[in-house]
Amino acid sequence: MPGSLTVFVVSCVVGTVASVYTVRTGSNLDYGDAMAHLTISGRILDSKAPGLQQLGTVWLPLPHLLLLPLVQNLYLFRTGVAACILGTLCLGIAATALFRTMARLGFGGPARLVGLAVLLANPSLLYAFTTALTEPVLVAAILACLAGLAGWAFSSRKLSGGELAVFAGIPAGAGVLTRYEAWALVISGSIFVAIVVVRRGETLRRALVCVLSFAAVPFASICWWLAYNAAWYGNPLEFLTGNYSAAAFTEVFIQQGQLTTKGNPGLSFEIFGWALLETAGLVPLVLAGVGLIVTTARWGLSDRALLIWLAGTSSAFLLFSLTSGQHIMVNDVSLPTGAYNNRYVLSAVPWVALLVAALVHEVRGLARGIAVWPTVLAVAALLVGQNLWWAGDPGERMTVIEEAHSGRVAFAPVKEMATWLHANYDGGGILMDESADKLAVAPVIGVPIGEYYNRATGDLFDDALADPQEYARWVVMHRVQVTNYATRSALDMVTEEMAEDPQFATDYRLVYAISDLGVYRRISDPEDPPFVEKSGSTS
Amino acid sequence: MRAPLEIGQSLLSSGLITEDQLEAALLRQRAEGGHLGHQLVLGGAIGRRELFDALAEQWGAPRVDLIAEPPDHDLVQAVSYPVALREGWVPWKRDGDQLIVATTVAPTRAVEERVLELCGPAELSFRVTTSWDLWRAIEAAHRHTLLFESQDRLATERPLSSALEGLTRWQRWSPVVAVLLVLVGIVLSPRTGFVLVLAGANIVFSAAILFKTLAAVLVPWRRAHQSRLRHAEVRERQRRGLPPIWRQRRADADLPTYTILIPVYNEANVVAKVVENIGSLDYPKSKLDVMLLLEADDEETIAVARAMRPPEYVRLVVVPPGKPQTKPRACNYGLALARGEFAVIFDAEDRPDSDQLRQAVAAFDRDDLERAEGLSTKNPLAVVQASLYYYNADYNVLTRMFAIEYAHWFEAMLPGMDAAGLPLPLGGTSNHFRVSALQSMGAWDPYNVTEDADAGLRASVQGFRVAVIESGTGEEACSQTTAWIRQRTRWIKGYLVTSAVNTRHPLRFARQVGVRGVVGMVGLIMATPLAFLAYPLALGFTAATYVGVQFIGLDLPAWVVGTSITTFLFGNAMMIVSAAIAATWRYNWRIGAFAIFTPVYWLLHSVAAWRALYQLVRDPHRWEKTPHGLTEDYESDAHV
Repeated sequence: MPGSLTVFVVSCVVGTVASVYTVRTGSNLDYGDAMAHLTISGRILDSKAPGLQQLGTVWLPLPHLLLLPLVQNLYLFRTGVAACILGTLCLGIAATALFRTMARLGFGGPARLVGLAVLLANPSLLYAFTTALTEPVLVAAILACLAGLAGWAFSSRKLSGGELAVFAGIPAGAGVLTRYEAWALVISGSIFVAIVVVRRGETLRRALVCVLSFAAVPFASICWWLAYNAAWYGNPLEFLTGNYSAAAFTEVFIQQGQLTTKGNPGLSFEIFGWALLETAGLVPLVLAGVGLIVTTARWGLSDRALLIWLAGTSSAFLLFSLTSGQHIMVNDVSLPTGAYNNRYVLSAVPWVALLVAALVHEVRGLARGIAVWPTVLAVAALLVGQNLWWAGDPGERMTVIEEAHSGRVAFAPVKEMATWLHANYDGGGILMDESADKLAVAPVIGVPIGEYYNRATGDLFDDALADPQEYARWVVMHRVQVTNYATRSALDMVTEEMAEDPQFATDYRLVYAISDLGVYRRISDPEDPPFVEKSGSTS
Repeated sequence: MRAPLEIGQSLLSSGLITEDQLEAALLRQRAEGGHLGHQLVLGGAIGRRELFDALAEQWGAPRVDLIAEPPDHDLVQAVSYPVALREGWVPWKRDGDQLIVATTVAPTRAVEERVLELCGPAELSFRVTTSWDLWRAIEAAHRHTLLFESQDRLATERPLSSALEGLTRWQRWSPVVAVLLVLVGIVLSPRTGFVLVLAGANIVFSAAILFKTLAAVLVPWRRAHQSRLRHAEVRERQRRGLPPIWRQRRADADLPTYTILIPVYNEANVVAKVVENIGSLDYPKSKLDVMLLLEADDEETIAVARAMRPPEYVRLVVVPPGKPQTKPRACNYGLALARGEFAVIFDAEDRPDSDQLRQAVAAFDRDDLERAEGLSTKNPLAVVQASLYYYNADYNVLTRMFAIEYAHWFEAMLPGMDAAGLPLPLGGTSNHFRVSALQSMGAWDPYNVTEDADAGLRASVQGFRVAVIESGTGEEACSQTTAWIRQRTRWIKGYLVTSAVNTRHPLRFARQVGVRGVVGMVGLIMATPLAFLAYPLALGFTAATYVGVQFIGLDLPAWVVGTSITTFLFGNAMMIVSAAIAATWRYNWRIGAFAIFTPVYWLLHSVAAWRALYQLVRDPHRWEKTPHGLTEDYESDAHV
């Protein structure tokens, strides 16, 4: 399609500029999860226990597999540039897919331009696409799936089931292996396919064939994921019910009475809406709302309208997750307030973009007298205004950035410790429970992951805990056990074993301390660095 | 030049043609040669019967309708059908001492002498008949002979070259023994048994991939080599004071008659396009001998073909019933009636490049020249293969995969094999034969379901050479999975049969074709079906061993697991990359990108391969016809 390559290149340039900014400021590693994703990806090959078993449990595997070849390079791993490369490509794919979707919906150039601007001028989205968070892959997969469905539904030629499977099913499969929102997209996409076929006057059998074609790859992906969980953990639903699952995560919040959205659709909607407002922006959101009204009035529930509704699937899933207590989101309207997990609404930005584009398209159709380009310029000016307002206080006005800032503050001493260890590490192995609270800083430490004895090394970790002197020259742990944790899995297992162990105190010397964290070095090894103690807080 | 003017003037004076029509026909005759009357008929100025009525009047012999009054059966046998077709007459009837000859050529003194030479002394009388009546009468009179030629000659005269007998005893039993040995091995020592099977499957898979990859890698080398040769030739020609470029294009008048065989069966939906496609060829129509080969039981196609009233240079040949009812049998039947110096097979839906016939003639001329001048020590060229591509490449996923496969085959594999001097298996269509060479090697084997691949190898065995030309033919890719599997079953079965036929006496075969011939046979004809048979085993065992080693404790050596996974991943990657490059070069990246699905596409091949193996045992000569016209009028621009 003419223009696709241009859109891809331009959006990759935008992604690159964003990446350069975040890497230079180090903000691409502000999210703890971003560092954890990089680490998981790295240890598939670079670990004392390498293998696909490093994948899982609650986190779906595709983002890690996509990062895998990039994080083999220690520089790309340490700086997070690996994620920037993947994110930039995802941004290119997402923007191109959005462009093609809009073209297939019959939108003209101005409408497409506005739709792309809503996507590419969103600072929260651009920021997320420079990190190792899963949003880049998810948004790219959702938009590619929508583009495939649009191509299939609105092609002048009747496309085959195979083409549907390739152009829409495979992106859906990629989404399914990225985030659970995409599982819902498979359902809504299947319904869409069935409706389109039936409306064409074709047989139910043909509808079934098309639905199966679309759903085959994502269904196979889901089956593989269940089989993987069954094979490794003995429970196909480990990702749902296991120790590291969302359910386990929310358990602590429930105990503390903080999961206020559970069973409360009104509050869920309010929290979700606020997150969307701060993430998509007031201007795009208002325009999208008008777009929704106009398109509903003009298109009803036509195939074109349904396709745009499909883009809202992830939002519906998120609302359901909040209401059912499967998901936690904290922002200015929640109790307690804060900034946590609001980035999930980024998957709604494509929906907003499509609705705004639809509005511009329909405005042109409704009022021929209105010059299009002034309309576009007006929208552009509003978007610029929105961005200028955001720029006034990004850490407060954009909840995704706010959470990053919080992460930066919370991780500051840990990263300082990690930087010190990077400068002083002289081999010999590191015993560290990187799954413990705020210790997922392997990228900042920046040594090969094969140097670590951690939970992911399985029995080796247990052996090292039992006899650290035998295995590790370095021990990194909380000097006192974590008390303020989001899930029980955040407890530091090294601290649990070592903090009160007199033998450990005999064998190791504290060489660096900051906040509640300590770096210990085996006494028997020569050339101990001088003890360094820094002040700081990880809370 | 008196006679043509006479017939022209005769037709003009009788008002059957206009002066403009005569002038146009004379112009074409000067450019292309041939008879003026033929040019008038080709140009539509006059009907065939009207022409021969005028000739009858001119020659002073009444016209006879050989269909209404066929020649005397015994009498017509006195002249063999090739001679009768070549001479243009047949002994028609005997009236006492008088022998009446039906002729399409002027009854000159030379013709009379030739008749007496072939039929014995008699008083001669002539009747005029049309060229169409003549070949129909000859075909009817010699039908038994033609049927023998088309279906039994190769099996009778060269049984070792025919697939009629199928597998020999050792060929039939050796796989059974191998399977039994493996089973016994697995029972006695499961670990060793699995290791052997896994290793065997991976070796076969790797060998096939390696062969294909190496062949593809040779293509750039071939292009560079050809470029060097062209430059050297230019320098040498300049040194000898010759024009720098050898003129490859013959004048129209010097072009040979070219036979085009188009076998059709149950293809009433596409047969009408044949005339349009062939008509677009840049070759003098007066030098074309097109035969639409129809099966006698295909009444619908016959009716459509007759109703479309094809032009003069197209003959509708109804192949009589017989066994096996295969495409090569129909082609052999057409070949027996061919008038051309060269012959090519096209399918009904084929769209050859317009200059393809000229390119083929140029390739043969070049070979003749090089051999005559002592510039080439290669075997004489018997056949050139044009590349095939699909004009419906992006119709669906299957057609894309098929297009990728063909691009890899015709743009990478065959040129690479050509560069390596290996015997080339021919594609199903667009293979241009020197008719004399084809006849001397026994024509196509009607019992082999891939007569094309077999013919290419047999040409090598018999000391001929096969080459490729840089011309293409657009074809319709099979767009339905079930039809594709049936077609591919036939192809793979054909490769198995061809392997079996050529290795009945392996040492003799090796002596005949040399090392390169053996490499080609083993690396392509044998390894291709074996790789497809082994693919699910390799895939299954690789997955099973990985899963087994990881989860169920199947204790296979790490090197076996590692090697098989590496081989499998690397092999697939090699195929994906080389196929993607070839398809992107031939079509575009949108087609080439689908090469990523090659591993899945290979699974379809495996289904066909196991089906073919079953058929090889149960029904080796069964011909599963590929339906054409499934994509109706769809045509993409991907191949442009």
